[in-house]
Amino acid sequence: MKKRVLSVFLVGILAMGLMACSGSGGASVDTQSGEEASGEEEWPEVTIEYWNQNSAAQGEAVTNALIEEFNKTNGKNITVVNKFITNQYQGIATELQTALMTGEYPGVVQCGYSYLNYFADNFADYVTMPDELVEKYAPEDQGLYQSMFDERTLSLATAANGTLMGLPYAASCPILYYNADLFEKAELDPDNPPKTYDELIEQASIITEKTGKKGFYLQSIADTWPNIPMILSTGTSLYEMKDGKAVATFDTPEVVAAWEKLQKPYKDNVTVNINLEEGGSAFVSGEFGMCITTSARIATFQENSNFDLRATAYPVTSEGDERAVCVGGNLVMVVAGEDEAKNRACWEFLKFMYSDPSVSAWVQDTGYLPVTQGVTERDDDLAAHFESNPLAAVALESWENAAVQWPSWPGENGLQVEQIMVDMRDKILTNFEEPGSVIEDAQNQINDLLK
Amino acid sequence: MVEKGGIGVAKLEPNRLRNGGKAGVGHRNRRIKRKLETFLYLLPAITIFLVFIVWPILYNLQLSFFSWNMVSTKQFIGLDNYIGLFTDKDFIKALGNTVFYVLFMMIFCFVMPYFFSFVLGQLVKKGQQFYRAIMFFPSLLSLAVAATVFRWIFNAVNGPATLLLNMMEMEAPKWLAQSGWVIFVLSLVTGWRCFGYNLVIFLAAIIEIPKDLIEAAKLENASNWTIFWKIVIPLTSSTALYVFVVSFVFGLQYVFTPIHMLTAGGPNQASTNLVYIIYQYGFSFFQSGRAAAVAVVSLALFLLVVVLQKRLERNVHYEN
Repeated sequence: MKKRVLSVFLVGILAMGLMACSGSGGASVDTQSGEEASGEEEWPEVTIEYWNQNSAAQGEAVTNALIEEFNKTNGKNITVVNKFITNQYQGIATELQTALMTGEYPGVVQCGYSYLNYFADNFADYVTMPDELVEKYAPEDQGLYQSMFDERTLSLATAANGTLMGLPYAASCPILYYNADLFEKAELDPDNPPKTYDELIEQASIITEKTGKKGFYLQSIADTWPNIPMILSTGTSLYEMKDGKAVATFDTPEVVAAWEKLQKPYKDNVTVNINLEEGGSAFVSGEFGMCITTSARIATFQENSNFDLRATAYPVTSEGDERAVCVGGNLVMVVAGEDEAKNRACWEFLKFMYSDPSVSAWVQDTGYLPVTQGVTERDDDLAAHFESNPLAAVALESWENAAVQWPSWPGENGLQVEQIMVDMRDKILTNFEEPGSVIEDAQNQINDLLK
Repeated sequence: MVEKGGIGVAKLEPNRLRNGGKAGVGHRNRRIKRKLETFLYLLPAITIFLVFIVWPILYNLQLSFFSWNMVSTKQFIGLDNYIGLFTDKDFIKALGNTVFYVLFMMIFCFVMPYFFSFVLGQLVKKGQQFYRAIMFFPSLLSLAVAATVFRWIFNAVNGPATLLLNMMEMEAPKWLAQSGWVIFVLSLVTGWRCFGYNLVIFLAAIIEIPKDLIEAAKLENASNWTIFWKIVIPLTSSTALYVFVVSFVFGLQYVFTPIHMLTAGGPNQASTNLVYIIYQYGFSFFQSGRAAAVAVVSLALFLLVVVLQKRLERNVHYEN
């Protein structure tokens, strides 16, 4: 009996022990202290992770190739592990929070531009900013990153509080794709695509009337990235900083007029507010005459459409407005704590990723745009890529001449604010509510959240 | 051995009493040892229950009184999360949407499988295996796959459902982009996936009904509907109760995957429900305190379901 009780007790302890066992939260990172490296060119073995959302459909192959190349050739005992995070930038934010709570510092992390201010407000203590990275861990490279990017490009990675959080990496612009065959069928000139929203709506209506197809599709997902340029080109800013707090300022007569103009084709059934997967596939099937979406879809659209596919710049809201397109994509940040070896490794990896051959490979494979200055002049492959692909050339032109930062909302409720903007769009374009009151309501709600 | 009523009864041995009344102590010790043994056997299960069920519920309850984005320091804010919830239009909309999801799931996952299983079990004479297989097949697919398939079917521009209605010269709704219809389509995705599994459960219960009861009813010229209503339902009520509760849970939880993949709660929160809004607050807006408050409210609603289940159980027939 005693033995039986003892055996049961031991089984219970063993079971509890098994349940209590837990591995490390994410991939383990092996690193030695960098203390022996100071003052000498001695590189201790170090492994860092590159957290990204480069899926199989976009960027995984080239990312793997670049990392493999770096691991083979860096000669500094640095190993980079590619870690794809699901659920895009939101997933990265969630995983990063979890990792930091357990004291893990991954290395290099992608951050979507729309999350820039959220990261600046919540993760600044954990991020090694570029200036600090170079000053503390790579003083021999002073001035290097400033020479790689122009001021406008660096501003993409600069938060509302003025902090440069990382370095811009992936950049895309919204462009207007169009089906030249449908244009001809509708007796429109395919060499004269719309340049303003007025022209867009007019030509779209003609396409619907004469061909029975929908006139245009405007990207609609869980953010308002393609809608913001319409607001910005009226000269209105989404928000202003007053006493360190953001105040929404987009409720203006010009913006209301722009949304009223945009609502009309939706009401007239010239277009429909469906999600990007539906709309994109319908466009390549020839069901839409035009499609406004990211330049990063150039390759996908070219592979899957069987009509004369062309592209032009994102239209301005009205004649005479200044063109402005928001840059989508991400920046890369270094999240390596105080570990000298890891920080140095991250910097070496970033230098490799921003080298001309790496940028060229990245751009050609993904359809993103080249963020480093002058790379299209120095790299013949890249120059040839843009010369031979007119759609890519349109995207490059937009990037060089009209790209601005995608305003991300600061404050602890910044991410919820974006949802209010999305709901505002859906109320206007799906429910056909009166734009003036919807926009006013949205601005008031947002300002309450930002207080 | 003393005989009592023909049954031998062990008599307490006299020499035990020679221990000066310590027989009672020995008995008590044996009882304690038995209890300890029982407790030790239950200890692993109790531990798992405490660690993975009770503790998270209590922690969630505590978190609902704080404001926390999982990175910065927690701030105690009392009932602000709950007050904010019940004045939040999106939360009220999520509550209302949840009711509709549950209603649709009841139809797709309870009423229809019940009816079809009766038809398959009692009325269809040939090809039962075939029909069972094709109806069960969707249950083998993941909800993510089902969502992808249905996104194509219900493409508002050139999906088969839209084209079919256009061929009949009817204007197709915008399905996933239209308030009302979006809940129907998302429920259909989940219902299509779960229908077959519930059908098989009902079928197993219906097959167990004594055949002579059905035959006797037929001899008395009872209609199929009468047989279903008066014989099948009462005798399969225990299975029906299980499926009823499970379908309720489907309406709350399983629709999360199609919502997340197809609409992200839109358009304008028209497709969000309680579970999705918890996810949104917790992992899109990183307002874990608010998410915890919604979770507490959801738990209270689940408890109502348990009470409902207990009431319904009074009318349930259990074999033996």
